[in-house]
Amino acid sequence: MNFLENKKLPWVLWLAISATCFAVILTSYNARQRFIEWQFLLSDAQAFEVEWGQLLLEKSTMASYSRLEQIAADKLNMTAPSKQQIVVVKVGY
Amino acid sequence: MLASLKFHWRFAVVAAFLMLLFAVLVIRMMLIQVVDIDGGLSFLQGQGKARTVRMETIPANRGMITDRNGQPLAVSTPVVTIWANPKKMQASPEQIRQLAKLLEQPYQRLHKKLQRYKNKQFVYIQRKISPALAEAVFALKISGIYGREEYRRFYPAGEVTSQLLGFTNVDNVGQEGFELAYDSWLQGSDGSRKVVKDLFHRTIKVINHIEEAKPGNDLVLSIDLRLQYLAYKELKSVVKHHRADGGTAVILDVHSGEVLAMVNQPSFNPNDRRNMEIASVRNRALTDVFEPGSTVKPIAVMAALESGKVHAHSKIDTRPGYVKVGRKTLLDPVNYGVIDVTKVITKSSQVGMTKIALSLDQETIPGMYMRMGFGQYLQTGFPGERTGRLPERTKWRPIERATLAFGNGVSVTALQLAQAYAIMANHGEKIPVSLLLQDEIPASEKVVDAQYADAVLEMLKTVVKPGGTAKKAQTESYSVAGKTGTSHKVGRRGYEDGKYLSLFAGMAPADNPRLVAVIVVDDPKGKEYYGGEVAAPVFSKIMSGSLRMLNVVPDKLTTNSPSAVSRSNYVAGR
Repeated sequence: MNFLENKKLPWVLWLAISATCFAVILTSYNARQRFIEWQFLLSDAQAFEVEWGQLLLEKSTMASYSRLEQIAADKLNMTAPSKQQIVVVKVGY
Repeated sequence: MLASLKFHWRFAVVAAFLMLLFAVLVIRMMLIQVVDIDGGLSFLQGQGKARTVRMETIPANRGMITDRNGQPLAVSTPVVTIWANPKKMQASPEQIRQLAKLLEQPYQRLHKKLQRYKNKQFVYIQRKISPALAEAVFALKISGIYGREEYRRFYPAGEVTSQLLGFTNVDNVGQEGFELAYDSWLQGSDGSRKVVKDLFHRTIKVINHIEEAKPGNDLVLSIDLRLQYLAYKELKSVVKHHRADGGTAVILDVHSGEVLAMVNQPSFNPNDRRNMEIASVRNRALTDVFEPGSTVKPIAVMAALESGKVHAHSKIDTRPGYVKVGRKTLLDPVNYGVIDVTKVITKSSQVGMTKIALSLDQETIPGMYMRMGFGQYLQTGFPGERTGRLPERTKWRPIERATLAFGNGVSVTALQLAQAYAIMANHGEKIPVSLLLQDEIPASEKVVDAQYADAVLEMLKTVVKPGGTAKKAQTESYSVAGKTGTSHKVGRRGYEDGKYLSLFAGMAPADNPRLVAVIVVDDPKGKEYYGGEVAAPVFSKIMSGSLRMLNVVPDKLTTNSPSAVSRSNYVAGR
């Protein structure tokens, strides 16, 4: 068979194998890079979640009703409206 | 020719010998690395893995507890636990001194601790410190000191919600309250996985997940933190003002059966439990039972109305202001004369109530208490919830029948009493109470015909009007209805002299009740101890504030047409 007698074929095959070898190396390298990136994003996500929890705590401390009431009454001189100051509006006919 | 042959022969021997040596090396390597003779392969692979393969724990967060509007009530946040390996620790006394100063520990104690464990591999230095403080500790660069990330529970509302939520121990296991009741629901389980790490400790490959992390579930309570805070503030001020032993207040939504506020005094700060007293941990609204006193009179009257023996305006003769039952004499503060059933409630007449009770079949009143849920679990799932006591007898003596009608010989929790009032406020419909947010209103059960419940509600409106026992329960903008009560505190040896519970239970707005509130003040020590003097004013403040926050239209204010508003100096803000 002249197919087997072809002198160029081994070289072509060798080149092809080398090319796929490098492709495998490249892909697995890329996969690792992506994976590392993903891991960092995951830990970032976790850190953000932690920060969110802390901000939530901070918000509820800063906006606690006792603190709001104190600031409203002492700093801003606010009072609950008395009966005379309230007007009830009926909407519609 | 001979020389070259000779050389050739010697060269061949040496070459063959060297080849043999090389072959031996190759075979040996093969035996070690491929065939695994004398454990070589597993040893090398093990060493390789020891440098790259790591087990990682995936931390799972404990779920959050929030109020009905999503306000956080209990949140887990990461903290750092500092530990040391004393065997590897190399620290100068100066460094240890700095460490002790940072952690606010006495130097001597830290030094002794390290001495005692100097041959051990592990000792806690300080558990659960803030991440910022941990950074400062690591900045000291003491070798052999490590940090481990843990979670700590924070309660932003502090003492306002402490008994309801309970708390967790240092290992994040619920110990009290909802933290205990829903521990497995809130508790996540840590996961773990096998990974390959590179030189820079970056994870480059996940080999397998041993166990997935299961984050804890969130728990949404029916509590409205705004109402909770208001109720707490008012209860705390009345307990302090009257030098009472304690108190409790419950607000219930009439239409959904949800508890909107449940507060107790004394309380504690769940974020710093060093000075916590055991008595302040009880959620009194569910764990403490008391005799409801006059607050059950409306229920007894409802039973009487249902029996058909009396109606709202039947005349009862309370002259001469006292009545003898067996060997006991029951008396009113003054002689009310001939009054109708409504007035018995308005004035809280002991004599009138006794006469009504004695005219009924002996099972009528206990049967009604039973339908109101007395003596039965409320199924709130709260740890330590008590049922109270509703005695069952085949034969009731007259004195027992009379005292039962004004709330002696029966004991309830504050939430049970609130539920009974919610039934009266809701036209006789009993809705199961809940401490958790309800997605839909649970099915109600008709326990009393609407006409009797509504008739009693009408009577309760007279209690807060002039001539009633609780004028101080009135509010400026909303009409209210309710009943006072003052009961003897029950101690180890029966009723305690001079110790009272001051009670008020009621609903508002009176014409179409939206909320029910029960106030209990335990042993007020001032001159005033009647429910109408101590508990009723608290009810008034809590009710008016709560209804306003819930945007309920005030029914005692005059309603203006929009044109009238434009003429007034009212500024709507926008």
